[in-house]
Amino acid sequence: MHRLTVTRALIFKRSFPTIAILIVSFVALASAQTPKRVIIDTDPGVDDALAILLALNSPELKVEALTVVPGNVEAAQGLENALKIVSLAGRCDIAVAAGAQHPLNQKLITAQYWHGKNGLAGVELPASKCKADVRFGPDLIIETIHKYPHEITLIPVGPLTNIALAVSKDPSIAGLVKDIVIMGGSITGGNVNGAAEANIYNDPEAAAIVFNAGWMVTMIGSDVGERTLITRKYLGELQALHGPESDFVAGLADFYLTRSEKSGYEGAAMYDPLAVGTVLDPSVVTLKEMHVDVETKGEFTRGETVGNRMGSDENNVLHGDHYEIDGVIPLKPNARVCTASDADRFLRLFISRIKGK
Amino acid sequence: MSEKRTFLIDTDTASDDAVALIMALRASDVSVAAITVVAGNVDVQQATRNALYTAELCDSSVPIFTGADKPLVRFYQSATWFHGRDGLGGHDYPRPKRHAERTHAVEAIIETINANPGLVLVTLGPLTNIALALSKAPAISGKVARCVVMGGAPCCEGNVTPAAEYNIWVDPEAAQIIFRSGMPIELIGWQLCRGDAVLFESDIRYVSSLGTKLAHFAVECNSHAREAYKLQTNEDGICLPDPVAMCVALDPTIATQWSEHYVAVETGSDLTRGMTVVDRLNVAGDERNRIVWQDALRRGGKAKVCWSIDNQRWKSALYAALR
Repeated sequence: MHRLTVTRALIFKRSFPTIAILIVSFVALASAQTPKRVIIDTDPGVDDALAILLALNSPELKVEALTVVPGNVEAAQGLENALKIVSLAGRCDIAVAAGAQHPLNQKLITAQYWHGKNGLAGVELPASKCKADVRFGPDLIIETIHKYPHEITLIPVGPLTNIALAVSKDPSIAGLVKDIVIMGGSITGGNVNGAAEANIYNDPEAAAIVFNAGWMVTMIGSDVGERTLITRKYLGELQALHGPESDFVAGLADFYLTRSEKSGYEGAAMYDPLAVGTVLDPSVVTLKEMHVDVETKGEFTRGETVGNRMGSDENNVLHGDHYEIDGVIPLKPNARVCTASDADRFLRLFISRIKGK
Repeated sequence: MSEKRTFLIDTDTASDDAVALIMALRASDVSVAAITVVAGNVDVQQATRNALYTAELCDSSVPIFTGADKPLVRFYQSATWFHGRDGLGGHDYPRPKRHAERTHAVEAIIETINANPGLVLVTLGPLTNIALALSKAPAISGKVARCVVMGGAPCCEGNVTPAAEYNIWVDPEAAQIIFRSGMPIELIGWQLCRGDAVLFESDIRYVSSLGTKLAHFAVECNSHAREAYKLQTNEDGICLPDPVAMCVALDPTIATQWSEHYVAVETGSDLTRGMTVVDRLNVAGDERNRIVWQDALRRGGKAKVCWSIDNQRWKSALYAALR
């Protein structure tokens, strides 16, 4: 009996490290091999195109669908651009669906000024080999979330019209997504005007619907995007190796950089790609939980994402002819707002995924 | 005998909505293709139940679809303070035998309009479902022959705030979408149910004397609304804005004064939230106004605003439906 036990112990001792390694490897492989399912809602858009290609070239992500929203370009142009991008990447398996045709309550503001006349730096990609999905974008979002409960990360990188329509039609999706990471808003000044960032400015009512839907919105704002710049140095690295996708990305980045330099910036803001980057590797950004409201009424501030940094409002109580402050009212956070990014690390990640593709 | 006209009715079924539904379901020359339900006077589940119950009373198997459970952007506020806790005077009517269809109201609206071009759309509640439908399928605005909207307080006081009527007030962003959509709108403001359009004590006794289950229901389910109206206006009687709108939908000649104007909905103010601002003097295109009114002007769609109705003919039409 004793001998048997010793023998068993010896066998166990020798094989334990191997077994342990196997177990750890299996677990690591399993989690590495279960890519995150994402839906990107987009208005391509130069930085949208960069973001989409980053996602398509990241094995950690499984892009279930692209849904198109009017924003940088009109809905029809956006759909054409999205189809051409997935075709370039050889990914006709990804559902690409049209969505809303215009913002909920106002006229669309397109941005060919920044993105070129077709929204893709004037680059004419070959006609897409892929066909658009016939479903309505917001309905496709609803369906996919129900198909994969608690697995879908929504990555809206355009105005929030489609997301608002989806959650208005089916409020239950707010409790069924894994995460929602938007490129939009800013708590320290806008890029359209003093107050507002373009995506929120283009549909403030939709943004208000999204921020109040009951989920925690991870908000990658323009104020951090504009400090996460692609510069000539990174462009050079990208241009060093060739491939159809990386050449396209280099072309877009060159246009985008030139456009930004003309306006006095050191580089081009990687707004949308940083949102995808956050899903890939949350450590590239610093996030702070806070309550965010979307201003829809202000003469100067319509479209502003008003972030309450202190986490509370002062409680004003009427005493005769004036108010007196009587403590504060704590506010429940509805957002994780990005306050900083590791720009260099993110740009390296971006370049490493794209170059040579 | 001419072909039947097709109606699509969107409702937040409370006491006056129910009477309006009866009028439509009992009209011999009308086919109600669908009833779609929105949150408003009562929550959308209660409103669905109330619509199903009303249809059952009329022996109608019209399909009923549940829609939005709250306004687009605003915090939802019901009007049970006016209509009673279940919207039908709190009389605990039995559970209907039928259920709502499984399709969402927004899909039903789009499919019904596409299948029946030239139908009459009648809205009796907040415009949330219609706004969502237009956002998905803007082309439906050109396929509707008439969009009769019960809502607003054109050039007069509101019923829920001094500035606004409930349907528009509770979801002003949705209303704004409809008024800018190019839909052929006929605006039937709440004020048309007041004054001599109110069912007075003698009228109520007459309706009760008709002796039918529909007549009995019409009076009983409005019991709470009658008391609330008295508190609100010091006028005694039952005020029925939705049936008045349905009456005009069924027979436009009931309206005695119409004119066409741009109508804009206020969404930015707390004081005048939901106000239906009617360009009564037709000056929206003037230099002073054209920037503020640009969205209305761009669409080129004026609404037909109803200013008065023939109260005798309205009441006769109501009685005929309840007989």
